[in-house]
Amino acid sequence: MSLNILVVDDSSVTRAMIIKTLKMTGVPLGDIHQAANGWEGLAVLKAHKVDLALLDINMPVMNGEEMLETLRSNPDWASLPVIVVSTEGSQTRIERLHQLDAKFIHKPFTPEVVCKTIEELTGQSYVSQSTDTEF
Amino acid sequence: MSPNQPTPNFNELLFHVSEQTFGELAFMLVESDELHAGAPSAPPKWGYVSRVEFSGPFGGEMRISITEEMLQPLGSNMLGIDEFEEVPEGVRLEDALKELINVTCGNLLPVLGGDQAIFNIAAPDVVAGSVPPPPERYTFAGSTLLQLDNGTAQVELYLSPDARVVDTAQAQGTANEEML
Repeated sequence: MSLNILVVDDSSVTRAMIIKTLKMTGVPLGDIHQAANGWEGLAVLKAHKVDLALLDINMPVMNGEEMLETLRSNPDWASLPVIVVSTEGSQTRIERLHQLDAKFIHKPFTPEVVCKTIEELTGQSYVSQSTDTEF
Repeated sequence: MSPNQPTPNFNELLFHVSEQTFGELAFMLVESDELHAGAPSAPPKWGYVSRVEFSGPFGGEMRISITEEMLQPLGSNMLGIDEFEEVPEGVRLEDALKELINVTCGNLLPVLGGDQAIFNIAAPDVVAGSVPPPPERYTFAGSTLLQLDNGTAQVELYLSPDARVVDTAQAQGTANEEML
């Protein structure tokens, strides 16, 4: 089953890097949606069926942590698989994200790490088409 | 921290964190580390200056200045496309510089404040064609100059006057260990 994915990051380059990386993971991809902040991300979720969301933390308007809290408080999205992709270095905040049932990937990241994290979330096994490229 | 007095440890720390981030994120390698100890006598003409402010246990600002010819290869390398290939629709090259400073700053802060400290990093901005004056409310802490295969970059750090960072010598060791 292919995954419909939402990528939320205020940087157009980072969104492009994440999408390119996703295409290298071997994960079957359906529709890929993009949003530049948490608020836009919620609007996408209201309009489309999404199986997995990848969020940045530091964004204007609504940051990734606020978006994640909103998701977890809404029955429609409470169990949506979420991966936070960020430069965050605070173990305190990373633990807080884990408590909100999100996986965490530190930037820069590799297709292997992204693939492994999606596998952990979905319980499926995918064959990565990548080398050791880092993004 | 003494105001307006560069600390050698900050320079070293900035060099190691920047060298690692430029290499890992943008595949840009430092050609020589001879220049990293401070500002050159005749600095290059900067094409773009990115700035990002952060707050938390202490505040500050990081700046990365790059020469004009660096922006295109920076964006291409980060996107994994050929240098002369058209960037994907909707992608702005200046966002590559914003992402570079975002990741560099994100890698530096746990070293400065410890891995339990929570910092908030504001949205970076980019100024093209001119060099903005130093921030008024922060004190210059250190800088490093990177001679890369695609141009020259300078990374500067400004901190609030009351900033209490973890021991930078120890932090230096941590940064080096993480690189190994």
